[in-house]
Amino acid sequence: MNPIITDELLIRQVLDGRQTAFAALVKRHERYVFTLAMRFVKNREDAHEVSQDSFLKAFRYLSDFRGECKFTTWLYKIVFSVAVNFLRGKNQLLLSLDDDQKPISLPNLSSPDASRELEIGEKSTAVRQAIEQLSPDDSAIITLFYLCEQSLDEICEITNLTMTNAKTKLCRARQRLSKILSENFSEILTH
Amino acid sequence: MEEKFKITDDNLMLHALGLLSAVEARQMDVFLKNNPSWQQKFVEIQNENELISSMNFEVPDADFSEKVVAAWVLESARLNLGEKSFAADFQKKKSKNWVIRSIFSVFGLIVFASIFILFFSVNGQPVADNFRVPLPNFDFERLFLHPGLPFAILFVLTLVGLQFLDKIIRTRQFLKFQN
Repeated sequence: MNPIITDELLIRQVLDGRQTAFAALVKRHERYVFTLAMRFVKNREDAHEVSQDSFLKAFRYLSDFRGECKFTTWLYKIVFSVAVNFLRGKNQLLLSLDDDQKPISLPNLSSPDASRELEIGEKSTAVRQAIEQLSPDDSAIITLFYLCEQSLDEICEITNLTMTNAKTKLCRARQRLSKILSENFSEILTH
Repeated sequence: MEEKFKITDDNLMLHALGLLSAVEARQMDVFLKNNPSWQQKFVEIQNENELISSMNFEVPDADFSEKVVAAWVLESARLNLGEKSFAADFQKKKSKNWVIRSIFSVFGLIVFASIFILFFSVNGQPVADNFRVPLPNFDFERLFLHPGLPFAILFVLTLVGLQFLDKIIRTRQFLKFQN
Protein backbone atom coordinates (compact mmCIF):
# COMPACT_ATOMS: atom_id res chain seq x y z
CA MET A 1 0.00 0.00 0.00
CA ASN A 2 1.15 3.49 -0.75
CA PRO A 3 2.29 4.95 2.59
CA ILE A 4 1.51 8.51 1.41
CA ILE A 5 -2.21 7.78 1.41
CA THR A 6 -3.42 8.97 4.79
CA ASP A 7 -6.48 7.75 6.67
CA GLU A 8 -8.18 11.10 6.00
CA LEU A 9 -7.70 10.73 2.24
CA LEU A 10 -9.02 7.17 2.33
CA ILE A 11 -12.03 8.34 4.35
CA ARG A 12 -12.82 11.00 1.75
CA GLN A 13 -12.57 8.37 -0.98
CA VAL A 14 -14.84 5.99 0.96
CA LEU A 15 -17.40 8.78 1.35
CA ASP A 16 -17.19 9.33 -2.40
CA GLY A 17 -18.19 5.69 -2.79
CA ARG A 18 -14.83 4.15 -3.71
CA GLN A 19 -14.89 0.52 -2.65
CA THR A 20 -11.13 0.07 -3.04
CA ALA A 21 -10.55 2.80 -0.45
CA PHE A 22 -12.90 1.01 1.89
CA ALA A 23 -10.96 -2.24 1.46
CA ALA A 24 -7.67 -0.40 2.01
CA LEU A 25 -8.92 1.16 5.22
CA VAL A 26 -10.06 -2.22 6.55
CA LYS A 27 -6.76 -3.85 5.56
CA ARG A 28 -4.77 -1.10 7.24
CA HIS A 29 -6.52 -1.34 10.59
CA GLU A 30 -7.72 -4.95 10.75
CA ARG A 31 -4.89 -6.24 12.94
CA TYR A 32 -5.27 -3.45 15.51
CA VAL A 33 -9.04 -3.85 15.61
CA PHE A 34 -8.86 -7.63 15.73
CA THR A 35 -6.24 -7.60 18.51
CA LEU A 36 -8.34 -5.23 20.59
CA ALA A 37 -11.43 -7.37 19.99
CA MET A 38 -9.48 -10.50 20.98
CA ARG A 39 -8.48 -8.87 24.26
CA PHE A 40 -12.15 -8.50 25.11
CA VAL A 41 -13.80 -11.66 23.85
CA LYS A 42 -10.82 -14.02 24.15
CA ASN A 43 -11.69 -16.22 21.17
CA ARG A 44 -11.12 -15.82 17.45
CA GLU A 45 -14.65 -16.50 16.27
CA ASP A 46 -16.22 -13.84 18.47
CA ALA A 47 -13.31 -11.47 17.78
CA HIS A 48 -14.04 -11.75 14.05
CA GLU A 49 -17.68 -10.91 14.71
CA VAL A 50 -16.85 -7.94 16.94
CA SER A 51 -14.24 -6.66 14.46
CA GLN A 52 -16.61 -6.91 11.51
CA ASP A 53 -19.43 -5.21 13.42
CA SER A 54 -17.04 -2.46 14.47
CA PHE A 55 -15.90 -1.79 10.91
CA LEU A 56 -19.48 -1.77 9.63
CA LYS A 57 -20.57 0.59 12.40
CA ALA A 58 -17.58 2.83 11.70
CA PHE A 59 -18.39 3.04 8.00
CA ARG A 60 -22.07 3.62 8.72
CA TYR A 61 -21.14 6.71 10.72
CA LEU A 62 -18.02 7.67 8.78
CA SER A 63 -19.58 10.93 7.61
CA ASP A 64 -19.85 11.92 11.30
CA PHE A 65 -16.07 11.65 11.77
CA ARG A 66 -14.94 15.29 11.94
CA GLY A 67 -11.24 14.68 12.37
CA GLU A 68 -11.21 16.17 15.87
CA CYS A 69 -9.21 13.15 17.04
CA LYS A 70 -7.12 10.52 15.28
CA PHE A 71 -9.11 8.12 13.12
CA THR A 72 -7.67 5.21 15.10
CA THR A 73 -8.91 6.73 18.38
CA TRP A 74 -12.39 7.13 16.88
CA LEU A 75 -12.27 3.58 15.50
CA TYR A 76 -11.06 2.03 18.78
CA LYS A 77 -13.83 3.85 20.62
CA ILE A 78 -16.29 2.03 18.37
CA VAL A 79 -14.52 -1.31 18.90
CA PHE A 80 -14.62 -0.71 22.65
CA SER A 81 -18.35 0.01 22.60
CA VAL A 82 -19.18 -2.90 20.27
CA ALA A 83 -17.11 -5.31 22.36
CA VAL A 84 -18.66 -4.17 25.65
CA ASN A 85 -22.16 -4.56 24.18
CA PHE A 86 -21.18 -7.97 22.81
CA LEU A 87 -20.05 -9.15 26.25
CA ARG A 88 -23.17 -7.70 27.85
CA GLY A 89 -25.25 -9.59 25.30
CA LYS A 90 -23.49 -12.76 26.30
CA ASN A 91 -23.87 -11.88 29.96
CA GLN A 92 -20.11 -11.84 30.37
CA LEU A 93 -19.85 -8.85 32.63
CA LEU A 94 -16.64 -6.91 32.67
CA LEU A 95 -14.82 -7.26 35.93
CA SER A 96 -13.83 -4.07 37.60
CA LEU A 97 -10.21 -3.13 37.20
CA ASP A 98 -10.09 -2.12 40.81
CA ASP A 99 -11.24 -5.51 42.00
CA ASP A 100 -8.07 -6.78 43.61
CA GLN A 101 -9.87 -9.83 44.95
CA LYS A 102 -10.47 -11.11 41.44
CA PRO A 103 -9.04 -14.61 41.17
CA ILE A 104 -6.57 -15.02 38.36
CA SER A 105 -7.13 -18.23 36.46
CA LEU A 106 -3.89 -19.60 35.12
CA PRO A 107 -3.34 -21.85 32.14
CA ASN A 108 -2.67 -25.46 32.76
CA LEU A 109 1.07 -25.41 32.17
CA SER A 110 1.33 -29.16 32.39
CA SER A 111 -0.95 -29.67 29.39
CA PRO A 112 0.83 -30.79 26.18
CA ASP A 113 -0.08 -27.60 24.31
CA ALA A 114 1.17 -25.34 27.06
CA SER A 115 4.37 -27.33 27.46
CA ARG A 116 5.02 -27.13 23.75
CA GLU A 117 4.52 -23.38 23.78
CA LEU A 118 6.85 -23.08 26.73
CA GLU A 119 9.46 -25.13 24.91
CA ILE A 120 9.30 -22.76 21.99
CA GLY A 121 10.22 -20.14 24.52
CA GLU A 122 8.83 -17.20 22.68
CA LYS A 123 8.63 -14.30 25.01
CA SER A 124 5.84 -12.67 23.10
CA THR A 125 3.76 -15.84 23.45
CA ALA A 126 4.32 -15.68 27.19
CA VAL A 127 3.24 -12.05 27.29
CA ARG A 128 0.16 -12.87 25.21
CA GLN A 129 -0.71 -15.75 27.52
CA ALA A 130 -0.30 -13.49 30.51
CA ILE A 131 -2.53 -10.82 28.97
CA GLU A 132 -5.16 -13.45 28.26
CA GLN A 133 -5.36 -14.06 32.01
CA LEU A 134 -6.38 -10.47 32.64
CA SER A 135 -9.98 -9.31 32.67
CA PRO A 136 -11.29 -7.95 29.33
CA ASP A 137 -10.96 -4.29 30.26
CA ASP A 138 -7.55 -4.80 31.87
CA SER A 139 -6.19 -6.42 28.73
CA ALA A 140 -7.93 -3.86 26.51
CA ILE A 141 -6.36 -0.90 28.31
CA ILE A 142 -2.92 -2.57 28.18
CA THR A 143 -3.36 -3.24 24.46
CA LEU A 144 -4.48 0.32 23.77
CA PHE A 145 -1.49 1.76 25.60
CA TYR A 146 1.28 -0.54 24.45
CA LEU A 147 0.22 -1.99 21.11
CA CYS A 148 -2.11 0.60 19.65
CA GLU A 149 0.14 3.36 21.02
CA GLN A 150 -2.73 5.48 22.28
CA SER A 151 -1.89 8.28 24.68
CA LEU A 152 -3.63 8.56 28.03
CA ASP A 153 -5.83 11.35 26.63
CA GLU A 154 -6.86 9.11 23.77
CA ILE A 155 -7.54 6.20 26.13
CA CYS A 156 -9.82 8.51 28.12
CA GLU A 157 -11.62 9.38 24.89
CA ILE A 158 -12.01 5.72 23.93
CA THR A 159 -13.07 4.39 27.31
CA ASN A 160 -14.99 7.44 28.57
CA LEU A 161 -12.88 7.49 31.72
CA THR A 162 -11.56 10.54 33.51
CA MET A 163 -7.82 11.15 33.37
CA THR A 164 -7.32 10.11 37.00
CA ASN A 165 -9.39 6.95 36.60
CA ALA A 166 -7.65 5.99 33.37
CA LYS A 167 -4.24 6.50 35.00
CA THR A 168 -5.21 4.39 38.01
CA LYS A 169 -6.77 1.66 35.89
CA LEU A 170 -3.77 1.48 33.57
CA CYS A 171 -1.42 1.35 36.52
CA ARG A 172 -3.41 -1.41 38.26
CA ALA A 173 -3.79 -3.44 35.07
CA ARG A 174 -0.05 -3.17 34.47
CA GLN A 175 0.70 -4.28 38.03
CA ARG A 176 -1.56 -7.29 37.65
CA LEU A 177 0.15 -8.19 34.39
CA SER A 178 3.52 -7.83 36.06
CA LYS A 179 2.38 -10.16 38.83
CA ILE A 180 1.22 -12.83 36.37
CA LEU A 181 4.43 -12.53 34.38
CA SER A 182 6.68 -12.86 37.41
CA GLU A 183 4.70 -15.69 38.98
CA ASN A 184 4.17 -17.83 35.91
CA PHE A 185 6.51 -16.86 33.13
CA SER A 186 9.64 -15.65 34.89
CA GLU A 187 11.71 -18.58 33.57
CA ILE A 188 10.88 -17.83 29.96
CA LEU A 189 11.33 -14.11 30.38
CA THR A 190 14.79 -14.38 31.96
CA HIS A 191 16.17 -16.61 29.17
CA MET B 1 6.82 25.00 46.73
CA GLU B 2 7.28 21.36 45.80
CA GLU B 3 5.23 18.77 47.66
CA LYS B 4 6.97 16.17 49.77
CA PHE B 5 7.89 13.17 47.61
CA LYS B 6 6.57 9.76 48.63
CA ILE B 7 7.66 6.55 46.93
CA THR B 8 5.04 3.88 46.27
CA ASP B 9 4.70 0.97 43.85
CA ASP B 10 1.99 2.94 42.03
CA ASN B 11 4.28 5.95 41.63
CA LEU B 12 7.09 3.77 40.39
CA MET B 13 4.78 2.15 37.83
CA LEU B 14 3.43 5.50 36.70
CA HIS B 15 7.00 6.74 36.29
CA ALA B 16 7.87 3.71 34.17
CA LEU B 17 4.77 4.38 32.06
CA GLY B 18 5.79 8.02 31.67
CA LEU B 19 2.65 9.26 33.39
CA LEU B 20 4.14 11.32 36.21
CA SER B 21 4.26 15.09 35.99
CA ALA B 22 7.61 16.70 35.22
CA VAL B 23 8.13 17.69 38.87
CA GLU B 24 7.24 14.23 40.17
CA ALA B 25 9.43 12.56 37.55
CA ARG B 26 12.40 14.69 38.58
CA GLN B 27 11.87 13.83 42.23
CA MET B 28 11.54 10.16 41.34
CA ASP B 29 14.80 10.21 39.35
CA VAL B 30 16.64 11.72 42.31
CA PHE B 31 15.13 9.14 44.63
CA LEU B 32 16.05 6.21 42.34
CA LYS B 33 19.66 7.40 42.11
CA ASN B 34 19.96 7.12 45.87
CA ASN B 35 18.03 3.86 46.30
CA PRO B 36 19.48 0.94 44.33
CA SER B 37 16.76 -1.53 45.34
CA TRP B 38 14.02 0.71 43.92
CA GLN B 39 16.23 1.41 40.91
CA GLN B 40 16.42 -2.36 40.32
CA LYS B 41 12.62 -2.63 40.50
CA PHE B 42 12.32 0.26 38.06
CA VAL B 43 14.65 -1.43 35.56
CA GLU B 44 12.62 -4.64 35.80
CA ILE B 45 9.41 -2.76 35.03
CA GLN B 46 11.07 -1.05 32.08
CA ASN B 47 12.27 -4.40 30.73
CA GLU B 48 8.74 -5.72 30.98
CA ASN B 49 7.45 -2.61 29.22
CA GLU B 50 9.83 -3.29 26.36
CA LEU B 51 8.65 -6.86 26.19
CA ILE B 52 4.97 -5.92 26.23
CA SER B 53 5.52 -3.31 23.53
CA SER B 54 7.13 -5.91 21.29
CA MET B 55 4.15 -8.24 21.69
CA ASN B 56 2.73 -9.52 18.41
CA PHE B 57 -0.60 -8.50 16.99
CA GLU B 58 -3.38 -11.01 16.67
CA VAL B 59 -3.88 -11.73 12.99
CA PRO B 60 -7.41 -12.22 11.65
CA ASP B 61 -8.23 -14.77 8.95
CA ALA B 62 -6.73 -14.02 5.55
CA ASP B 63 -10.12 -13.33 3.98
CA PHE B 64 -11.33 -11.11 6.83
CA SER B 65 -11.12 -7.82 4.92
CA GLU B 66 -12.90 -9.36 1.91
CA LYS B 67 -15.70 -10.53 4.21
CA VAL B 68 -16.04 -7.07 5.75
CA VAL B 69 -16.15 -5.44 2.32
CA ALA B 70 -18.75 -7.97 1.14
CA ALA B 71 -20.86 -7.34 4.24
CA TRP B 72 -20.61 -3.59 3.66
CA VAL B 73 -21.61 -3.90 -0.01
CA LEU B 74 -24.60 -6.00 1.04
CA GLU B 75 -25.59 -3.53 3.73
CA SER B 76 -25.23 -0.56 1.37
CA ALA B 77 -27.43 -2.33 -1.19
CA ARG B 78 -30.06 -3.04 1.47
CA LEU B 79 -29.90 0.55 2.66
CA ASN B 80 -30.31 1.88 -0.88
CA LEU B 81 -33.21 -0.49 -1.43
CA GLY B 82 -34.78 0.66 1.83
CA GLU B 83 -34.36 4.32 0.86
CA LYS B 84 -35.79 3.67 -2.60
CA SER B 85 -38.82 1.82 -1.25
CA PHE B 86 -39.34 4.59 1.30
CA ALA B 87 -39.07 7.18 -1.48
CA ALA B 88 -41.51 5.19 -3.65
CA ASP B 89 -43.90 4.86 -0.73
CA PHE B 90 -43.61 8.57 -0.04
CA GLN B 91 -44.19 9.36 -3.72
CA LYS B 92 -47.27 7.11 -3.78
CA LYS B 93 -48.65 8.82 -0.71
CA LYS B 94 -47.87 12.19 -2.24
CA SER B 95 -49.83 11.30 -5.39
CA LYS B 96 -52.71 10.06 -3.21
CA ASN B 97 -52.61 13.37 -1.37
CA TRP B 98 -52.80 15.13 -4.71
CA VAL B 99 -56.00 13.24 -5.60
CA ILE B 100 -57.52 14.05 -2.22
CA ARG B 101 -56.59 17.72 -2.60
CA SER B 102 -58.14 17.82 -6.07
CA ILE B 103 -61.42 16.32 -4.86
CA PHE B 104 -61.43 18.70 -1.92
CA SER B 105 -60.76 21.66 -4.24
CA VAL B 106 -63.64 20.71 -6.57
CA PHE B 107 -65.94 20.23 -3.62
CA GLY B 108 -64.85 23.56 -2.15
CA LEU B 109 -65.38 25.25 -5.50
CA ILE B 110 -68.94 23.90 -5.73
CA VAL B 111 -69.76 25.14 -2.22
CA PHE B 112 -68.16 28.51 -2.91
CA ALA B 113 -70.05 28.84 -6.25
CA SER B 114 -73.34 27.94 -4.53
CA ILE B 115 -72.81 30.64 -1.91
CA PHE B 116 -71.88 33.13 -4.61
CA ILE B 117 -74.99 32.31 -6.67
CA LEU B 118 -77.17 32.50 -3.57
CA PHE B 119 -76.21 36.04 -2.63
CA PHE B 120 -75.07 37.81 -5.78
CA SER B 121 -76.11 37.99 -9.40
CA VAL B 122 -73.68 38.73 -12.21
CA ASN B 123 -74.58 42.45 -12.25
CA GLY B 124 -74.49 42.82 -8.47
CA GLN B 125 -78.26 42.46 -7.96
CA PRO B 126 -79.73 39.85 -5.60
CA VAL B 127 -80.64 36.61 -7.31
CA ALA B 128 -84.30 36.18 -8.14
CA ASP B 129 -86.29 33.84 -5.96
CA ASN B 130 -86.72 31.25 -8.69
CA PHE B 131 -82.92 31.10 -9.17
CA ARG B 132 -82.20 30.37 -5.53
CA VAL B 133 -80.76 26.98 -4.81
CA PRO B 134 -83.06 25.19 -2.36
CA LEU B 135 -81.30 24.54 0.95
CA PRO B 136 -81.46 20.94 2.12
CA ASN B 137 -84.00 20.44 4.79
CA PHE B 138 -82.19 18.06 7.13
CA ASP B 139 -83.20 17.15 10.63
CA PHE B 140 -79.86 17.51 12.46
CA GLU B 141 -81.50 17.10 15.84
CA ARG B 142 -82.56 13.58 14.91
CA LEU B 143 -79.05 12.77 13.75
CA PHE B 144 -77.36 13.93 16.95
CA LEU B 145 -79.87 12.15 19.14
CA HIS B 146 -79.54 8.86 17.24
CA PRO B 147 -78.55 6.00 19.63
CA GLY B 148 -75.99 4.65 17.12
CA LEU B 149 -73.99 7.90 17.04
CA PRO B 150 -71.61 7.10 19.96
CA PHE B 151 -70.79 3.74 18.35
CA ALA B 152 -70.18 5.41 15.00
CA ILE B 153 -67.84 7.96 16.61
CA LEU B 154 -66.03 5.18 18.47
CA PHE B 155 -65.65 3.25 15.21
CA VAL B 156 -64.20 6.26 13.39
CA LEU B 157 -61.84 7.03 16.27
CA THR B 158 -60.64 3.40 16.32
CA LEU B 159 -59.96 3.57 12.59
CA VAL B 160 -58.00 6.81 12.95
CA GLY B 161 -56.09 5.37 15.93
CA LEU B 162 -55.16 2.23 14.01
CA GLN B 163 -54.00 4.32 11.06
CA PHE B 164 -51.84 6.39 13.41
CA LEU B 165 -50.39 3.27 15.06
CA ASP B 166 -49.61 1.81 11.66
CA LYS B 167 -47.71 4.99 10.73
CA ILE B 168 -45.68 4.88 13.95
CA ILE B 169 -44.75 1.22 13.45
CA ARG B 170 -43.77 1.78 9.82
CA THR B 171 -41.59 4.78 10.70
CA ARG B 172 -39.90 2.91 13.56
CA GLN B 173 -39.22 -0.07 11.31
CA PHE B 174 -37.72 2.16 8.66
CA LEU B 175 -35.48 3.97 11.14
CA LYS B 176 -34.39 0.65 12.68
CA PHE B 177 -33.54 -0.68 9.25
CA GLN B 178 -31.55 2.45 8.44
CA ASN B 179 -29.51 2.14 11.64
